[in-house]
Amino acid sequence: MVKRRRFAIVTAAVASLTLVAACNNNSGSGTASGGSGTTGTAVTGGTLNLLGSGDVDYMDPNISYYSSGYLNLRMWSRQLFTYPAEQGQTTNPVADLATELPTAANGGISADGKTYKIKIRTGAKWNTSPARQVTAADLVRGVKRTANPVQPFGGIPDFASLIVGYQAFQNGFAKVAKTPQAIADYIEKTPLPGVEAKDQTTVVFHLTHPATYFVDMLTLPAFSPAPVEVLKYLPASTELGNHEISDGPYQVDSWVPTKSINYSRNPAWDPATDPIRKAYVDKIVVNETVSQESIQQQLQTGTASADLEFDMSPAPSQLPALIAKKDPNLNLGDTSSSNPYVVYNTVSPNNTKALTDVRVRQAISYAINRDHIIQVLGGPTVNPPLSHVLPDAITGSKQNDPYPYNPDKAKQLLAAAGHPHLTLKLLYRNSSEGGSKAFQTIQQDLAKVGITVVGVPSPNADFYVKYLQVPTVAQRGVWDLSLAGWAPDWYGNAALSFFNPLYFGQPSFPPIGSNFGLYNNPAATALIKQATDAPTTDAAAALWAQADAKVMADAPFFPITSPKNANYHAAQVNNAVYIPAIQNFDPTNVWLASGKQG
Amino acid sequence: MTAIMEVVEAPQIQGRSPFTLAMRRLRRDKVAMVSLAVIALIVLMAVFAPVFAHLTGHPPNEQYRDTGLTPDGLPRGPDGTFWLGTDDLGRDVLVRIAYGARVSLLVGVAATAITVAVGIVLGLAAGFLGGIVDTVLARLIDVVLSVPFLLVAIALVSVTGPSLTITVLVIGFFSWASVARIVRGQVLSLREREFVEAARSLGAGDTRIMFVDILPNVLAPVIVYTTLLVPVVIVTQATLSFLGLGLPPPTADWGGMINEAQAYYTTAWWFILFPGLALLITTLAFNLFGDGVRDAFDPRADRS
Amino acid sequence: MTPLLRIEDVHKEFPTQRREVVHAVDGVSLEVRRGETLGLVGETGCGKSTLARCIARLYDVTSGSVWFDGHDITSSSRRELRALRRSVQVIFQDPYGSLNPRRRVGSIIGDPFAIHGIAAGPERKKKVQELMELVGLNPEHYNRFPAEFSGGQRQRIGVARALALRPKLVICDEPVSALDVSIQAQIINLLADLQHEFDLTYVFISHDLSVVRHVSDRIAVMYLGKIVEVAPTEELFGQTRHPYTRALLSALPVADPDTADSREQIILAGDIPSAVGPPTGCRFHTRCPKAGAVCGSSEPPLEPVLDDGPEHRTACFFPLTIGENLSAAVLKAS
Repeated sequence: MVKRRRFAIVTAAVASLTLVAACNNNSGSGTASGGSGTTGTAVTGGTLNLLGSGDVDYMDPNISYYSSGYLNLRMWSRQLFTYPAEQGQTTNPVADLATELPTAANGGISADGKTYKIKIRTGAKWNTSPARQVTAADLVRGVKRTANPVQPFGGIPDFASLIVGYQAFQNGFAKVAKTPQAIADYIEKTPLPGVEAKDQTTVVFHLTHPATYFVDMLTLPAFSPAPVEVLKYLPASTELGNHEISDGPYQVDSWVPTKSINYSRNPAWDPATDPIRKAYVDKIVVNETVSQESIQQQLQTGTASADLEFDMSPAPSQLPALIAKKDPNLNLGDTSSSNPYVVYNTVSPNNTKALTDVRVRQAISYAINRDHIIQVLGGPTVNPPLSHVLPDAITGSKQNDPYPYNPDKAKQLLAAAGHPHLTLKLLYRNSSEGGSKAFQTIQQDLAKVGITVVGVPSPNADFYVKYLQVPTVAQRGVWDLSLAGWAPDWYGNAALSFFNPLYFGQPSFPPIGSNFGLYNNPAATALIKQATDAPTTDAAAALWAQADAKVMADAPFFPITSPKNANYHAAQVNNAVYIPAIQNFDPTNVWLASGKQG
Repeated sequence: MTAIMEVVEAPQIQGRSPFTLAMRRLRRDKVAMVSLAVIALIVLMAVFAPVFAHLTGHPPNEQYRDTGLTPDGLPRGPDGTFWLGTDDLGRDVLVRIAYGARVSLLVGVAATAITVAVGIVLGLAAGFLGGIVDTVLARLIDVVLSVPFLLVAIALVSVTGPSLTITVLVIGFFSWASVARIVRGQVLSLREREFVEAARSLGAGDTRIMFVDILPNVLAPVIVYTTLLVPVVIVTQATLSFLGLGLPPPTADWGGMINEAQAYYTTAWWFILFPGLALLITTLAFNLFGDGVRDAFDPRADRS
Repeated sequence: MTPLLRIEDVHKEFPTQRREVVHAVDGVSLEVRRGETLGLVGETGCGKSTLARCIARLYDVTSGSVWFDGHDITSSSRRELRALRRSVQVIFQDPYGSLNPRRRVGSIIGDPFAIHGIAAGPERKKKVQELMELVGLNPEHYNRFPAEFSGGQRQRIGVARALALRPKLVICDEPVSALDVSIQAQIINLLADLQHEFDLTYVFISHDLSVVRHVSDRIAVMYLGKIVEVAPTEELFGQTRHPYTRALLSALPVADPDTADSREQIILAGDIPSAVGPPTGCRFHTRCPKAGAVCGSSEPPLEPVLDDGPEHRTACFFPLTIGENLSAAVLKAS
């Protein structure tokens, strides 16, 4: 039912295992990031140079699903709500195009929690000629575009059953010809009952059940408004990418896929309507053809033509040195992800079905030394330990370490379960350095309690498609243990984004969900359902904490770390605030020191 | 010429085969002999890898997370405990290089053996039997030689999953064609020689003529090629491992070590240097020895 | 008593790269009697070696038939041929090329035993060493390689190998032409001794008439794939009938320089015509000083001419009479 950023995590798993980062919880208010903050007075002007090795996924707000795409959209696409570039607040949504956060008190949320009424700021305009107000109809159009049959948005399962009529709308859309004309006709003529343009600037959402996380979810760029002009092009096409219309502080001057993106100021943008983006620099240039080594070198030497990373991070082997000298330009930011974690195949027929016995799974959890894995992955600074389901910054996260390293306990449990010696098959990606290291370390640890671990290396491309996403592969016992990673689609109130796809019983089984070990406990499922429908955020948080403890007791997986994301900026970059959603510093809020504005 | 004069005049009854003569020339080649000594040392290192583990007290796959790894998970440099430092999991690089020699030599020898055996048989068949057999095999040789080896190897390994067997088979499958081509060329001229007709007049069948009469005459170039093929195979195996297509961890092998060390070359030079040196020295020794063998078997020196 | 070997109207053609056909042997009938030595002479390229290989069944004949010891072996199966190999052996011209340079002499001579599964191990070694002794080689050289022997010794190795299976017929294909003259006599004597000792029949091929004259009981002369004259040795030399035979004989070196002066020297005009498109009629008519009109249009049969007996057959419309001077014929022709 829910299919979240699994593919994002493919990259993220490689990236954060190798590229990691660290500091402290809420996006680096600690040592590393602080230096960029508040020294001197902000200077306007200059060109901000971003260096990277890859491109955006799509130059299309309603389709893009990756952090590099989100970084690009930060410049020219606005949402109803977004995360501010404010230390400590970067996972709390604030009003962007919307005039204010909806609450029951201000009438934005109905009493039953199923209707949201949101007003768009007057004066927020598209850079059409003449410039034109962003309207509620534009927002409805944007939401409709996510369901297009050419390239549907990857995160649809998050809300398909939440927004009234969305599923039916999408089913109808799937039958439409894949031409701009047919798509435009369907969008303009087919109503989506759950998203309604009440008047020119008022949009109303109708939900099938209360959802305390709904505002958080609306920060997804998929919920951006779309002007009527974009209907001339196929969704996610390169032609559209070169004719996008901006409502943000910058506009795309040119985009050469895999080579470069150039942005300049958007004359239609009125700073008075945008409390989030200060837009200090005049131009932004992305160079997508620079190697990781070269990027790091240029950022450290302080040349004016290198300011920020685009899609790259400092090499993991260089991090300890940068951390040790407390480099003020390094930031170790929160990812709110659980990556990697060890999945247990709870239906494995191997070893006379030993893994179906909760005592065996608990024993394995006691026998894996989390500290060892963390150490070989780069140490606790970049990989702070995570011992339960929800990372710290997610609403409902509650400290809980049910399986501290204890090989004796593990042996007792194995003996009690009648499995003193096991042979387990561990599936991992052989091209992932972190996967290979974690496998070898787990192999060593488990050998000490009498468990033999045999590696099942998989090519990157097959890992999900041929193994984890196929339930019969798990049922056949092709693997007993595997390594996966998970990142939420949004931040803050995002516990649903973990539990629904990973531990929600049958509906969360692959290929729709990502419950690869086919964990299924009706008690846990009931708790998750309850938390999803909770009327208030506080009630939800308490229920999520209960669900977390329940799942941990069943030991369907073993969490290891919620890794930090490392980012580095040049010394001339000021007010560099890391935002987890874009996995980078917010380029619309940095300013360049005078003399270094090349 | 001196050597040949000696042979004719020597009172010994045991004949000097061209092979014996080549060996004698080889023994006088200082570079080749030094290379051979180096190869012998590497073989000894591979055979006695457990002794390295015993002397240092470090089994090849044991991770020393306290003494062999920084708290940040970085390798530790050479010291009294770890003579060549540790790798990214806190394992002894020296011991792993010794164990890695086993893989390199085993693959080097096994894949070369398959290559040469298949190449000889198919080359003999193509050259000697001629006709449709030759046409088919010659085309097959052309096809195999024109296949982009690494691409197919990568594709194949990603389908079957990496293992020692598949590494050996992949290398063998893509290398036999060169041997077959050499053998075929030789056989094409050899089969017109009178001694083949002589064998036929004695009643020898095709199989016997191929393997008893012709084979000994193609061995010299094959031996030369084989000696030069071993280092190529070793490097190929390391390349596959380097690309993550070699032996699955935790087995130690040089290509895999170099691959793992890549990320650390600025911070842990020993981790990439020593496995790299091991690979370099081994292939250099085999190449120099192969050059010596080629000189010793040079056909110009072969006439008597 | 049937002849040991009889061939009838044997043709052997080879296709060339240019899709032409070489008529290497073009309708030869011949018989070889038990215990005799039949000499086969002709210029290089006349087809005598091809004929030898057809007789030994190293080649399949294109048409015609080959009879050995009363059996038709023209289209024998591989298995039958294996048995034939024990009875028919070949001594090759080149003692360098016919011995495998990479194998020891002992194994080379032992090959026949190995191939036919006759003797193995110490027994084979003993037999090989006996053979070596028989042909005049030091048996202690059993483990040497061919390269360590002289040309004459190597040909002895070839002889030993051919004799290993006690064959009935030995085809000697120019066995001494690659050797020094001083060595030739040794080998020829060896062959004569062995013939006597083992009751062998030889087909002795050579382009050297003096050698053939020395060893042969009868001689057949070949020109362009055909036999032009066959006769007992002394009769061929004494009553030469075919102009081509006469031309060959005239080229013989003579030991006594005085007699040499009195002999006429016949230099044949032109080259041997190509075997791809041989001349019509008598193959020799293009170069024959005595050729008449009939020679170019019809082929002369191989049969006794003039007053010759059945043993002496000649394929010529204008055979030479005794004492006839070919030079006169040359004058007459021009």
